[in-house]
Amino acid sequence: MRSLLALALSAVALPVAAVSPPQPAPPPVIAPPPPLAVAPRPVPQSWEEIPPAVRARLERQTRPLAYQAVLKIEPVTLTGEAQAVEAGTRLFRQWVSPARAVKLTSAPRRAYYGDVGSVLWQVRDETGEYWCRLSAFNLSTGYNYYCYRDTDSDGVFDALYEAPYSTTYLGFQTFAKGHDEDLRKPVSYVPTDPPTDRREYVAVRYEGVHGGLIADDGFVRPGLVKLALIVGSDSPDPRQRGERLVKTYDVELNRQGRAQVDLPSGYRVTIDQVEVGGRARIAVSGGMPAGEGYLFPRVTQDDLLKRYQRALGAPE
Amino acid sequence: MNRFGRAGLAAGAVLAAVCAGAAPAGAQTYTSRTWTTFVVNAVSVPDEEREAAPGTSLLTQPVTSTRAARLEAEAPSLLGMGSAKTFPAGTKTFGVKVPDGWIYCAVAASTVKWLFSDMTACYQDVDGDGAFEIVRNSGMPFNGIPLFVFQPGPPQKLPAPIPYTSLPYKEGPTVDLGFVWRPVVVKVKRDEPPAPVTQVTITQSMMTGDKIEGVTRAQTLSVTGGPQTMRQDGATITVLGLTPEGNLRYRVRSAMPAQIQPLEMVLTTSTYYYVVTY
Repeated sequence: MRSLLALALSAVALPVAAVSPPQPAPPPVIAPPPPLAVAPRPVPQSWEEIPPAVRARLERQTRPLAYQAVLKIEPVTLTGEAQAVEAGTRLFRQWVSPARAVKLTSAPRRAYYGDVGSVLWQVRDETGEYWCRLSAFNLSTGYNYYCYRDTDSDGVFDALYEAPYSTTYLGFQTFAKGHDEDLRKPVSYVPTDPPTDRREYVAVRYEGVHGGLIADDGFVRPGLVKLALIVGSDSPDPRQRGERLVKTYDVELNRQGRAQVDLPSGYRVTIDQVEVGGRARIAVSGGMPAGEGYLFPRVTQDDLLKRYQRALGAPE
Repeated sequence: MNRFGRAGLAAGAVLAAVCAGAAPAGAQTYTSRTWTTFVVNAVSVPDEEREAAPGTSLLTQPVTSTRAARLEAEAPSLLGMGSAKTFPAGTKTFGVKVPDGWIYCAVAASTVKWLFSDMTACYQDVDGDGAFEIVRNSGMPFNGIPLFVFQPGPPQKLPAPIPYTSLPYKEGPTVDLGFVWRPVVVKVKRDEPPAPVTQVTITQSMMTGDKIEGVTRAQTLSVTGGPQTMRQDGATITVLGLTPEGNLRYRVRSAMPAQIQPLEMVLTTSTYYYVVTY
């Protein structure tokens, strides 16, 4: 009886252990291919919705309003069409003039600070507004920008700053506040029309190649070229005629010998086919929007959010 | 006594007296940066073991300006005393970028070496008609290198236009850019034997002939612990050791690829105004 039970148990067990034929390997499971199109990244609707890594990168691009003249900007047409240019070529000109002005109605304590009737144009920075004039040549101080400030907005200037001058060109655009000049005696002022003899241009000059490898076809790639943001004027007054370098930009050419750079002023410059002697093909598009504005506009989180949204394909 | 003698002292005293009663009213300092570029031309160097004596170059490559031109007629230099008065037709000139275009310069060797320096005359084609109309006396070659001019002199009109032909930059005047090695000598006391050389310095320098003109960059390598490799601007040189005679055993793995390099001069000037009554 006990042996019959053992036989029955073994009969149940054996088919599994010994009698069962070898099973073929299961066919490999092939995962379905990923979709060809990458799922669109969600467009953030607020600064906080931007992924943290991107947000940190964008944060570094925010800029407060730098000390500079408030401009009345004339329109410019930049086609974005590439042209062969030599090093030292001014790529375009966009004309600007002071946006607003006041005139003094009382005399400051020194003649070179200005006089009754002196016209001053508006300059701003993140902390507020200043009103500036350029002095006539003075033996003790040379040419200087004198910028007044009405700190308590009571219609009377109560602070004065003396800023260094340009040795090459005496335009209305100043970019350095300078030092406190101790006004001592408050000076009154009233609004007036902006000066008409202070029209000047903003331009970008291609400075040429500054380094890089020379490919077999004679073009520079990768490499480095320089652009210069300049202001200048054709004024008949020799003191106001000339050009002044505001800022130089280093632009890296990639391995294809190409570069595209967006300057803070709104100009997009595309550079290609740079030769050893500096000749290059350059296209400029964009420009400062016409109307009141700045050469170096403030860059806020909101501006960068909009730029990021556009990059992700959000409608304008 | 200073080089102006008693007259100089007297003038200095008068100036000091004038300034003594004055207050410095304003001082403004300006820093201007001027840059130029040059081309390091490629050379082919076999990768094989070599030897070089101390103070000689391990690798030398020709350097040119980024532009060049050839004078097609004899050109007056309009330089002063002690300089060559003319450049013969066929003289090669190197290009220098200036705010209003390009000037093409040639170096006039001094006719009295012990008294005068070599001077640079730079020609300019103002109207772009293929002939130079003005020449600018631009002083001594910058840092002794007859390829650089940072401050061109005032323009002088030439008696007659001088025709010229543009040349490929590779065919312009050249200087050498070399990697020159020297042993690092360890000082010992007078009665001790000289210490064995364990390190060498390799300096990348502009050269005119065997003369080094301005040190640019240097690296120090050991010569006792097996091969050591230095890399600079795409050149790769492996130092293998020293021979019993004191020569350096080395291999040039690769020369510098053809490239443009910048050279920048920073000039700082101050202007002082003195006011007697204020």
